[in-house]
Amino acid sequence: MTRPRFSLTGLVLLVAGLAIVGVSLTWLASGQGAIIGIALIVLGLVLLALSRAGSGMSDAMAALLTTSGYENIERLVEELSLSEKAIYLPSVATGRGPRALLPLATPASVPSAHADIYDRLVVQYGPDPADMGLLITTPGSGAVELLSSEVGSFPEGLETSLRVLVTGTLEVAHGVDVHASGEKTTVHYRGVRGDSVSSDSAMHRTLGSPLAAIAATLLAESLSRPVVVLSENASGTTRTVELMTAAGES
Amino acid sequence: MNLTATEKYVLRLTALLMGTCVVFAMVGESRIALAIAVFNCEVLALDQLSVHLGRRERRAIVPVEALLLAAFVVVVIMEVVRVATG
Repeated sequence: MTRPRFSLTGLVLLVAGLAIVGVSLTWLASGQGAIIGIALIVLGLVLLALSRAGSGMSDAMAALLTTSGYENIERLVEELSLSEKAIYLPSVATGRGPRALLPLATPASVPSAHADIYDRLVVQYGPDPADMGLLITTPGSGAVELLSSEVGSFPEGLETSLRVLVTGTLEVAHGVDVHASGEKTTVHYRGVRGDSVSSDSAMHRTLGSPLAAIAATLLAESLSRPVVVLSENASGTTRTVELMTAAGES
Repeated sequence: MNLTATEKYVLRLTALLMGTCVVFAMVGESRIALAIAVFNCEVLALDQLSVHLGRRERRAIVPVEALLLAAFVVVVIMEVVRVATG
């Protein structure tokens, strides 16, 4: 993904800056004119650099891969008639990375954060034979890897990590607030743009929206405890995600 | 107005650089070496303060920072030579 606007503006500023510096130093003999030209050159260089700060993959290709990945998981969820909400596990539970557990049985028991679950698609996460589930990667799993450091401590560090991710790296919202109340945590996303999964899909019912998945994964990482998405509400460009830390049994 | 972290960074940098130009014009400062040093410090400081800037964006700016730092070193060497040779 590139930013064509930045590219064009950066190029124009760079050329204008070079011209102003040249004219100021030769014809006008004006140091102040040259300083303005240098400022434009610096700004142009930064914009040109930012215009190339992309993944290298086109938006269309990224959307194609995302859609196909989501549809495959949705088909799997529908085929297995999974109705339980996903349990977001911290990376200490699998030893590989944060994952979401889709329990096959209803009602499902919650594994402990240190259950040492083998990182496979179909897993047994408890001593009971019915404790079977699907362990899948969510947008939150990938989002954690985009952070340059560990997820911060709860709740201030978590809020900072979430803000860095959604407002900076992913640029999907303009602000995040985290409120903790006992076992419940509420995450408010402000200025959300593009919420790709429809609320009536099987994916949404079990895993929640991508923003909910990111919040749940980061909370699970921050507390090193399993987390469940309780509810999601949308009001204009604001999304409210209610999360609950689950008490593990095994 | 809803702006992304990158757009906010660009706006802040523009305001900083243009504000410096205005201050320089007001005090009658026209030394290019000083301007390069100040711009360099401003860009480096703003990059450090922009904690919400994405990892890719931060990485993309590194060559520009290196270029500014190189220009700063050249300016310093030129000043040292100028002072040393009287």
